[in-house]
Amino acid sequence: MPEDLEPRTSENAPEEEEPRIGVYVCHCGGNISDVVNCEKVAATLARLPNVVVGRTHMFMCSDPGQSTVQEDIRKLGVNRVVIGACSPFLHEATFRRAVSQVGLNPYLYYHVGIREQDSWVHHSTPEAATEKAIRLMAAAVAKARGLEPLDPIRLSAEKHGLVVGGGVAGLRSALDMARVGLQVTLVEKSPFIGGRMARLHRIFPTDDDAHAILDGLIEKVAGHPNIKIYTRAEVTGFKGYIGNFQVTIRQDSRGFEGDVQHLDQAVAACPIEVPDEHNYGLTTRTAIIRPHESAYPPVPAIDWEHCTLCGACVKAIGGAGIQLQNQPETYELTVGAIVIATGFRPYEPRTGEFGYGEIPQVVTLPQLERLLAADGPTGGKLELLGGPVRRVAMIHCVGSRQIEGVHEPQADGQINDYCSRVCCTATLRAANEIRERFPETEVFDLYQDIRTYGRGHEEYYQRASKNRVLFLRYLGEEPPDVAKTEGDTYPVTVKVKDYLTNGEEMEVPVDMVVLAVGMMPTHIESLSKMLKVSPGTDRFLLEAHPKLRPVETSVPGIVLSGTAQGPMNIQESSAAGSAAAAKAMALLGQGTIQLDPFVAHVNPELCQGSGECVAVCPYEGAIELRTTIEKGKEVRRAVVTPANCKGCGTCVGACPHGAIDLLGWTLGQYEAMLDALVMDIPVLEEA
Amino acid sequence: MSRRIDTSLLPEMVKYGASDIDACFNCGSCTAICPLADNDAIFPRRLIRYAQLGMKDRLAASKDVWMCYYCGECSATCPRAAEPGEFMAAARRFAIAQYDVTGLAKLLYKSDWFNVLFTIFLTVLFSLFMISFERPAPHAQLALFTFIPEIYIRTIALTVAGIAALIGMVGLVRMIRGILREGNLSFTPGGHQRLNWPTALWNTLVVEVLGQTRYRDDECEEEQATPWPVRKWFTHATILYGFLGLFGATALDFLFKPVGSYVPLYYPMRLLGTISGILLMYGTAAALIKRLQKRDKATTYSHASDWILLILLWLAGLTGFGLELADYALLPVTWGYTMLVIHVSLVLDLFALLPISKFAHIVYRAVALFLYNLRPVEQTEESGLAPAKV
Repeated sequence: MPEDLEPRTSENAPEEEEPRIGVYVCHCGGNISDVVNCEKVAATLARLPNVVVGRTHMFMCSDPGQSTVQEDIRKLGVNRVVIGACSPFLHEATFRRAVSQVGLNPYLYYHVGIREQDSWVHHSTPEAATEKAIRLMAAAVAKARGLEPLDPIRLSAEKHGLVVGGGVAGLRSALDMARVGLQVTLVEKSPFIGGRMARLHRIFPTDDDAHAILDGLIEKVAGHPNIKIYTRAEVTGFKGYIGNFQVTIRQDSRGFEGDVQHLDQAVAACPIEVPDEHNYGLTTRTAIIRPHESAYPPVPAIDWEHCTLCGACVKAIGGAGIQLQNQPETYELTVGAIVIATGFRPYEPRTGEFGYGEIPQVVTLPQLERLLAADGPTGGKLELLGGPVRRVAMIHCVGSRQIEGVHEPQADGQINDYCSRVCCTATLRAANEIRERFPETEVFDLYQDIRTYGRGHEEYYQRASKNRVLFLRYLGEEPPDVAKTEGDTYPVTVKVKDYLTNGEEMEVPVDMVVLAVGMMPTHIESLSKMLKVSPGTDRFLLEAHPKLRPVETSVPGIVLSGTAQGPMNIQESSAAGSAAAAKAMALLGQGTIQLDPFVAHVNPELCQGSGECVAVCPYEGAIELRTTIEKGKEVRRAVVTPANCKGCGTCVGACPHGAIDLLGWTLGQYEAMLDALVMDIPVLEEA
Repeated sequence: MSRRIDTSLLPEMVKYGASDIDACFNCGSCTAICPLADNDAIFPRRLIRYAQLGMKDRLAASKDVWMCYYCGECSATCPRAAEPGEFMAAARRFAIAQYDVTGLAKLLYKSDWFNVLFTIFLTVLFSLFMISFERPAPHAQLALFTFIPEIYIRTIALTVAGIAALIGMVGLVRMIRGILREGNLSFTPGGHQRLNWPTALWNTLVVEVLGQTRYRDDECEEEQATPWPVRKWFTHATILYGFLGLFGATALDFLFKPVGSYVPLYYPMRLLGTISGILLMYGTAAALIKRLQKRDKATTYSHASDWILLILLWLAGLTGFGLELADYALLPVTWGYTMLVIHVSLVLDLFALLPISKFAHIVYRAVALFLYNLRPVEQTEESGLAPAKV
């Protein structure tokens, strides 16, 4: 174990000095003092043993408030500080900094939340609230007597980031990290980077060519000396902690090497035919996955899942450049931070859902994007089953905003009750393109609510009504019905109870039905289990706090980028990618990482090596038994790895010998607090 | 039963003058702000929706198009500047065209040029008809019905009125049947329900037509702040009273006054005609000026049919006064004869076009209001004389 990982109390601490406690009660501009009698609290506490001063202030967090504390430390020799104010989430860090500025160890400061925990919730009973404040702060004083100086844990950090996923968010994160000098390893599961965006055609809110934008980004990533890209690769092993993750990567062979001559002949010779995922199954491909225009890397790949190793391709081109054998390679590397950019997959409708899979005229929005793309299966012409499309019905919220009891649950028994956010604008963008490029084609838009929330999104809605896209509104409980029609000029009829026309049932005869499918997370269950990052109820990965820690997971050093975290458009994914990179850079930039020292600490003299602590510890690698030589005897002792310890205290309770304590939250401190909470406070009786 | 979507109606409505209706996204602000929309007449949003989905029959057979007096509040507050008020005007044109059996109304409303040229053509035709007869040389003293024998005027007038009435009656029947069908109404409701015909008639003819109550209810704040002589309801009332007065004076003349006889200015029929003429000319002049000034939403998007009706009425009034001046020898005799030809032609225009021009609203709106006011006895008694309002 590196030297700097040892948990310890502060070396600068003066030995066994008499506690001199300063107590401060904040008015919070009336937030507290309107209910709690702050003066009484301060005066009462000032009479407790070891308390040398009790003061109040209108705003303790203001500069004058902070200097009051600093003055008392300097002039009165205050060496423990207790402040009753807002929640410690807001200003604990402020006051720790304030006391350390005048030389006091920051962990000799204790913060009591008498606003959220007292004045705000007891505003109708001011006297009881005052007593509660006195008791809470008396307990804090009791704890303060036993506070010991601590040093934060400092970890050395590997200046190397791992990005899992090579879509637009992952590429963005990789590039941003590489630009500040971090080493970056990018791991992509599929044979080409670019992700879902590579299959899009034009993108809102600017109608830009998706490829023009993506290719620029790929070029920068691929050409950056700090970035190493592994395609067809997955993370298969993981251990360690922030700053020092040991990761195993497994990479499949491509099957091709370098520039392949006569690729067309090889493809023609291949007897395999499977749906082409690049065109979302609208076309088929062979077992040779050809790079699409502007794909990176530009080398084809063999689809090992479907290849029968028949060798026809090798024969067709004389063998040059083809290696018909998958020889996976594994790589081990140490990284300081991990960016999860595993993206999303479009919702796949059930067979029969709005006629999908049964009526060939029913397609999904990603499929429509391929049909509109110049490099798509129809060369950009709006054709389906060989004929032109005269009328299109587009149905919103397919696989999103599902209602229990109305929609059939997914394979995992859950429904997608969330809004996928992107589909409204994406659908309207496509609707406008159809109306503008093929004015003779009519578009009907069946929606629940139009949620064009972003800058420039509402314009698509306005443009659509100007383009005479006809909107019909259905209720979530009464989704439209899609059915085949015989003997009509139009092959499919969509029936919808239109709530823009007082719930009247309308029939829309069309040639094509487009389902605006929502977003679902990719299948990353094994990865998230391995990394111990947890998904939310919607199965997307969860951030630690939506506002205070927006891209962090609950595992330090692992951050989220893009749609792995939830439905986002490209603009938001890119922003999230940059945010994830910034977070990783903040963690790794210094080369060291500082953590609060509130971790378990084993007293080696009391530890008998029972191993109970290891058995109950919920965190991997936080505590383990090690065999050491003590007085010539081999003994087993529990050892804490502070970087992995979350300070939950489970081991403290489990230890049969009372050998473990939590630094900053010792059992002795708890006992003192409890005693103080229930003791008789003479002043209270007098009052 | 579900209805099939027809996308051809909305572009059709644009041709009828609803030129901005493409922008509508069905928010319903128009209906919310409308001072006249109530539970029994929900517009404009619902009617716009009918147009978007192609429910031709519903739109044409809606009495609601006639419940609107175009105050322009909806257009002023429309978040998309889709001009719902103008759509309502277009819907009224569309409705008239749908009731019309001749098919002429469609052509007139969809082409401004055709509308103008057809009106001029009709005027010239009538004028030529009247001067095409053999007649004595003009006397030194005005003798109108020697110049054009009264029998010719009477014959052509009755013929034109007869044809117009026939077309109008067919249109009315179509309208009433449509409204009853689409509104699921019946003149003979089942059970013990009796319809309150007298109240409906009173509410329609006295309260609404003569009292212009809905027109006044429809006033927005700016309108209320304008001096009363130029308020919309007032100018409309002067045109209506003027027209009715002139119609009455002419009819009484026809019945009681010897043809071509001289009467003094204070002669009751002459006096009624003169006062009505002043009202008509005042009202039409004020309305024309408002349309020229584009004072508000309702006068901004004037359609050819709006101009033609006002101009015909105003010119008919002007030539009528010309005739009156000539009658009292204040104008040269030749002027008198010219005035006669033009005046009669213009009046014939008005009657010929009555069932298919904007003028038709005088009948269709009155009948629609009557159907709106026609409620079961119980309902009207509950709420007093006036129909229940929300």
